[in-house]
Amino acid sequence: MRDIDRAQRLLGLFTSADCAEALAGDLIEERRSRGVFWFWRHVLGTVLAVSRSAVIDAPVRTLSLVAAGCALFATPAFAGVAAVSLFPQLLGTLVSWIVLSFFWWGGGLWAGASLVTIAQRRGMAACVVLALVGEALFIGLGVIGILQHAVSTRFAAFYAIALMAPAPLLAGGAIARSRAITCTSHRPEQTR
Amino acid sequence: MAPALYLGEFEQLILLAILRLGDDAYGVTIRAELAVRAERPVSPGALYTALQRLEAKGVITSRMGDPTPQRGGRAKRHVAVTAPGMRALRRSLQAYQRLLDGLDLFRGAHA
Repeated sequence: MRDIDRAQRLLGLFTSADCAEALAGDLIEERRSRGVFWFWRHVLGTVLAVSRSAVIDAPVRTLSLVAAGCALFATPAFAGVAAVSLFPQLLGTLVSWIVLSFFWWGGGLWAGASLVTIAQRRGMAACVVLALVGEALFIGLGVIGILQHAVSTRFAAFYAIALMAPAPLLAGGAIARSRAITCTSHRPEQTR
Repeated sequence: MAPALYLGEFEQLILLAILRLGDDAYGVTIRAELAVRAERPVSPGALYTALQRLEAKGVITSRMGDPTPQRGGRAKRHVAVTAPGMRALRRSLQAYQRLLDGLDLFRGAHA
């Protein structure tokens, strides 16, 4: 897949198909003189601008979605901790980390997909906001852990699993949105 | 009677750029016009969200053009100012004009 196709697909997760096509075209038109780095910087910048605009234009609705995403993610996240805690003899072993990452990453995937199912376009923006807030929170916790000299193998493993959770969240949202776009484009013209 | 539309400074600049460009108004040309004439570099994301907001307000309208090879086969999204948009722009600029009357910002007492 070419750069422009990837960019258009990414932009299509946040905007309508027509807008994504026009935006990708605008960016590719300027890429010739400005380079690949400029192109991708502005593809990602546009994604952030659209997410920011979703929060500013309808703050209550978007932040409600973010809160719903927190609740959706918290359930499997706590279930994962509970599942690991049920078997204290396994704590700190590879099995416990696999179980924990299964619940956390699976929870992220599920939360992202659910948010986009609830609200098609704004859901993706809510996923980005939730992922950024989550990353900021985890990085903050990591810094506190390092400052308090609480860094151990267990802390590092737990931290790595938590830090990577926003990736499946975004992936879940992207998969749900792509499926919705595919369903819409395959729908007969008269039912659109 | 529809409530009066109020435009921000950035929105006024975009509308003026669209009017100057006429039929050739789309993302790339609007950004270039703003950079050259208003000395205001605007990122594609900021322009896109502003155009979406203006379209939602009914100030501009958009239509998809034909795909072109230099854009990787992607169509341009041409924009035009609507009649309510023109009225809102005139009202905003007249307000500026009334406030500027009697002031000499470039020479004299208020320079």
